[in-house]
Amino acid sequence: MENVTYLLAGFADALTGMTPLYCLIGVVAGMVVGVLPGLGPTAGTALLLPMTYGMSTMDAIVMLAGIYYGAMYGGTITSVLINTPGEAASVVTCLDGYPMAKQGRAGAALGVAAIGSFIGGIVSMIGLIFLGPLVASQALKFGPPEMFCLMLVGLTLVISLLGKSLLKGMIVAFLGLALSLIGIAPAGGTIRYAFGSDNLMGGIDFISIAMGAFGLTEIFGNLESDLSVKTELPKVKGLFPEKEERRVVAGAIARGSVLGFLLGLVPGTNSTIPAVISYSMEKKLSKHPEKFGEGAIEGVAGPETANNSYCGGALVPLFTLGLPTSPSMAVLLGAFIMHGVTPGPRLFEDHGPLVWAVIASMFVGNVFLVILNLPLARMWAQITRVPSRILVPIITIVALFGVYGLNNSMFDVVCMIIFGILAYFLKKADFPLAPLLLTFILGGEIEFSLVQSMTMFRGDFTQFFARPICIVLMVIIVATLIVGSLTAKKRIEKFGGEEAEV
Amino acid sequence: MDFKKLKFSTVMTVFLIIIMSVYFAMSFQYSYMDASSYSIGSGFLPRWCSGIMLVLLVIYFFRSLKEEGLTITEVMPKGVGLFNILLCWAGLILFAVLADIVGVVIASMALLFSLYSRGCKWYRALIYSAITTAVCFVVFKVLLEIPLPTNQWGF
Repeated sequence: MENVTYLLAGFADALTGMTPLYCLIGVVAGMVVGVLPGLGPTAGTALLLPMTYGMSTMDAIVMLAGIYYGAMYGGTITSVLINTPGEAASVVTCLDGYPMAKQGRAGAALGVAAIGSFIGGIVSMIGLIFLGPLVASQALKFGPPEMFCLMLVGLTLVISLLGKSLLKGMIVAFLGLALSLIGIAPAGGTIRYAFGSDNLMGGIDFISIAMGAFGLTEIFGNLESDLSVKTELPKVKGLFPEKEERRVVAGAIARGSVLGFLLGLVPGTNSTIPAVISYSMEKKLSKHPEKFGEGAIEGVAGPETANNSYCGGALVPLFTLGLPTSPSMAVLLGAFIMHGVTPGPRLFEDHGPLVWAVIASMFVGNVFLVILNLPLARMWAQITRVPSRILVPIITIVALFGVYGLNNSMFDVVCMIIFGILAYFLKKADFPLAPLLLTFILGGEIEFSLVQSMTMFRGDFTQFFARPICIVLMVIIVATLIVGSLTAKKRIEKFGGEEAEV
Repeated sequence: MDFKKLKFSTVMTVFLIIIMSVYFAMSFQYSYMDASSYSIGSGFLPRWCSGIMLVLLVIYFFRSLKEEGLTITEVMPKGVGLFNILLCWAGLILFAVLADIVGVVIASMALLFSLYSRGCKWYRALIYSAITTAVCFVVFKVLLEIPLPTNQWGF
């Protein structure tokens, strides 16, 4: 019950001052990012992050979180109307959403997707409200050795589940860790790998890497081909399902909500996975599985609900353990750190009003999104008509100005360009990029917790094996690596090897 | 050896091996253990990290010789796509070099003009560049109060 009290106080904070406006800006930006193919929530969040420097922490996090779940709504519109997913999680929506649009039922598809996304978002927020403080209270029992092992578990899950190859994922993860070690060491204050440069002494800013590796690589990818395709948009009329479909839709939404939230708790998953699993589940449970692929409304309702519900679930490990489970969460973690707040077991205790205000703002944001989506879907789809020859230069210059604004230094811009080109070539060589960002962001924390652990153990590394939680976590690491390598082929066939949320 | 058939992933791996070898060698400059606090030194994690990565890279080097993938002649796009990418890279590097000297407005206009002109006539590219630069300058310098680099005339 006290969580409800905190939430009500959070609503009071979230609905005062400029916070609702920033929430609206965030969800609108998320919608735009979701509608635009080639620009995912990670790059979109990284692009806007430098602009939040002068804002209060609450306004900044509210806005950036809005981009993340707003993108899930936006990606649906182009999937249904022009058979082009705006972001990876909406790929499945193309299968039945576009056939519905061709049958003149685009409105019903978009309406069901918007309603399902709204309900999924609300359900996952409720899950976050009750599960978040519970997990955080248990995580307080974790000491530095447990936190070290837990971060390794999170990274191992990400490496094993993302990308096509475990070996390449590990290489990139260690590359990210190596980059995070540049600068001042937590133990002893030694300056490492600075080569006499004042700029490198402070380390590399994660925004430079995020925007270079995810923003610039997408820009370079767009420059390789001409994406200025003019398409005819189907008419959008009638936003609700038929009376006889409502029961089926309600069931799909209920199942998608629970599935998405639970999968969001698992590091290494991304928003595509709950959407795919939900689609498979609805097809198996349906009385008319032959209709899937030809305009089955539950084939839209379930996946869209699941990918939105996933957002709330993914926030649980981020808020309570400080563990980002995907590239988007990693950028959000960076935003917290940039504003002086460290997510983890003490987040609810030390920054309770902030956390509850952010959670409350997500309820508000979901309301904004369903209002924006239901009557205005066709307007959003017009954004896809803006050719990439106009968008690419704009995004490029915004990225440059934004990164410069981090520390008012051209060094960060140079880093972004270098990592952008490096990441472009890594991507061409089929190396996944998500582990790079995740280990880079966690690298400092990993080393710090290892330093604390070894100080506790007086230099005896074997003490890790004397702690039961650490043993369990290490078993999970080994099991994940084994299962990840054995099931890689099957996983790629089912879910694809491409990185989602980028 | 036919270099045209060489996989790009192999080349990338060799590049990373060279970088990580330097990183590994430099890690010996820093202390491995910190005797005063019984904890790890500043060289502990760099040494293990780069060492493990070198082992993984060597393993992958041999695997990459047999894997399917882009060859070094296929990695870059051809024709217009290649020109667009190289122009973008040159523009970004010039922006980074020139912005502090000539001011962000001139550097931005040059970069934007080169990018817009890939898809529009030169006069439209000029107009779009001017509008985009002006809007970004107002948003970042005036509204967000970010001290963007300017020249002696203040822009």
